[in-house]
Amino acid sequence: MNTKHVLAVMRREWLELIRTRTLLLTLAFVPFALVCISIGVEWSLSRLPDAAFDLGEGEVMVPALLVRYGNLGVRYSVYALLNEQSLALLLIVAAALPSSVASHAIVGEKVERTLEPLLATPIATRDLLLAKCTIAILPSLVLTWLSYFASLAGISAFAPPSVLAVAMRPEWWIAYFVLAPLLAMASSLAAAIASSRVSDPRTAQGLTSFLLIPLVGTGISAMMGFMSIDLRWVAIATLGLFSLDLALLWIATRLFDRETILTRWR
Amino acid sequence: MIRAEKLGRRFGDYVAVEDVNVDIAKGEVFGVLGPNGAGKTTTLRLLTGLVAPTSGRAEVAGISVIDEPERVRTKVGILTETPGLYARLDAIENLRFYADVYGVNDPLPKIQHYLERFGLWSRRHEPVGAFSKGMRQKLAIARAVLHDPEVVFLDEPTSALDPESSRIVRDLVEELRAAGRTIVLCTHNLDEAERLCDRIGVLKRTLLHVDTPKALRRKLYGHLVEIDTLGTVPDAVLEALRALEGVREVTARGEGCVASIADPRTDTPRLVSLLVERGVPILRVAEQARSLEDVYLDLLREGGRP
Ligand SMILES: Nc1ncnc2c1ncn2[C@@H]1O[C@H](COP(=O)(O)OP(=O)(O)OP(=O)(O)O)[C@@H](O)[C@H]1O
Ligand SMILES: [Mg+2]
Repeated sequence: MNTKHVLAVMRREWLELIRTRTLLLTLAFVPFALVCISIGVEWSLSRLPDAAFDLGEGEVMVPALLVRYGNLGVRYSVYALLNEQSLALLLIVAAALPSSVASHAIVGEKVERTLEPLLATPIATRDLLLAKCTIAILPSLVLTWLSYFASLAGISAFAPPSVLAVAMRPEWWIAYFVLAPLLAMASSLAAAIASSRVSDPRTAQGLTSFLLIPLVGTGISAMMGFMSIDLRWVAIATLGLFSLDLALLWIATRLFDRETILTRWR
Repeated sequence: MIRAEKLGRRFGDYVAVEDVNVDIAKGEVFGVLGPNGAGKTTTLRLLTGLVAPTSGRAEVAGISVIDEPERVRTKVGILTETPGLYARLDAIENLRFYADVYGVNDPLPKIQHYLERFGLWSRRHEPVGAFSKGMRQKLAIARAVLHDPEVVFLDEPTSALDPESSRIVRDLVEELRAAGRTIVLCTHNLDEAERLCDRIGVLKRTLLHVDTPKALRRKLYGHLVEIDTLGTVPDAVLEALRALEGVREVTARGEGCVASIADPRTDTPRLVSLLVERGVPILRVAEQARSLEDVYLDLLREGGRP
């Protein structure tokens, strides 16, 4: 890996990205909406009378809730459950968003015909893709982290610290700060693979969402499995995603045929 | 510095370039002249390792474009057919990026030098998307030479430029040559090719002619003289005309003949005095107007295989 090349491409991609306002706004919209919804839910829960949570002994959910949230009681267990669902949803969004930036970064270069002088430089395909995908995941990651903190703020406004503590359990920190970047990288590499094989951004995005289904599927099941705190599981998931990223980078590099991309695109 | 042997490239069944043999020395300015679709751009792409040849081989700076295209790319700079600049970045950012990729030390003074030279310094902070076609072309030329490559490929460098800017580019080419850089220049501009190049290759799928501009000029700039006479010109006289110095071809045409000569100022009087000597009455002598393009196109027709 040539660090100078990677840094040069990252710098340039970054400059271009921050000047593509519409793309950034589109990116920001989904997490923003999710945070608003989860805070709204929190607010409406807080307005319900205690009697609303006075569930009968026979209610099937109750034992499961109490197992998971222990001493929180029925009312706050429901809070915690809904919060955790929003957090999981936000995480999936975080993993999926970068794909549109990544496919834009590759197809855009084809459409604007900037590819030929770039490919005439000594930069290696792998370094190029790595740099592009790294910059592609940055904005969505930052948005995701901001959304996470906004959600925490929302929770602390309408619920007691015990409920907040659930949303701040170590597995959520790890999910947001370790697994989310790895998952985001996987999705943007998947987008890179799709983009280097097709000619217009829309097809690329369509194809990416197709590639993303198994990825997000794995992500969700990983999250579910992850709920039962287990450091060994965390280590395995991290390692697994990391290997997935490496494998995808290898495939993307192999499939990014410089010559075909240059000559089929007139 | 550049050597191609039987170099060729096909796209599917279509043969874009074939059987190109050429040997270009260090410090040489080599012009590639050819009509649209002749394969100029394809040849440049082959020599810069951007596309792989389907036949033959080529070396640039002693490195094979087939075996080590990445290393070839470190040695060359290319002005591509389309400028390919990043529209949202300004002039400095565009050049800075390429300087970084090519590993130029302390690029800013060099960037400033070229921007000033091309009259773009005052516009350096504007996004390139707002630049005119010629401004982009100039910026792309700066990008091609910024890292001071050993070999520079220029695909129609002056196609979008006004006379003044063309002049700046020509001066730059001269300067690079003086610094021992090898330059390959594709162009449609015969004048420019003649002024700048040490040798010119006429390309139409393959290299039809490779010669110095001077030699090519004789071919390209050949003059035709029409001579009308009273009665037909006898064969013996035609033979004698053909034997004259500077006369390449004489053909009988009705009452008179047409001669192809190198220089009308010396050759026409010679034709006339020989005819007078042999007692052929002359009615009219006229140089046939033949544009540069006509000659060039003839050359392509006569050399071009169907
Ligand atoms: N990727 C490709 N696929 C199919 N045909 C191609 C491809 N690239 C070039 N060609 C064909 O090869 C021939 C030569 O093209 P090239 O671009 O090299 O010509 P050129 O001499 O640069 O022409 P111009 O003066 O118009 O720039 C053309 O007929 C072109 O259609
Ligand atoms: Mg061309």
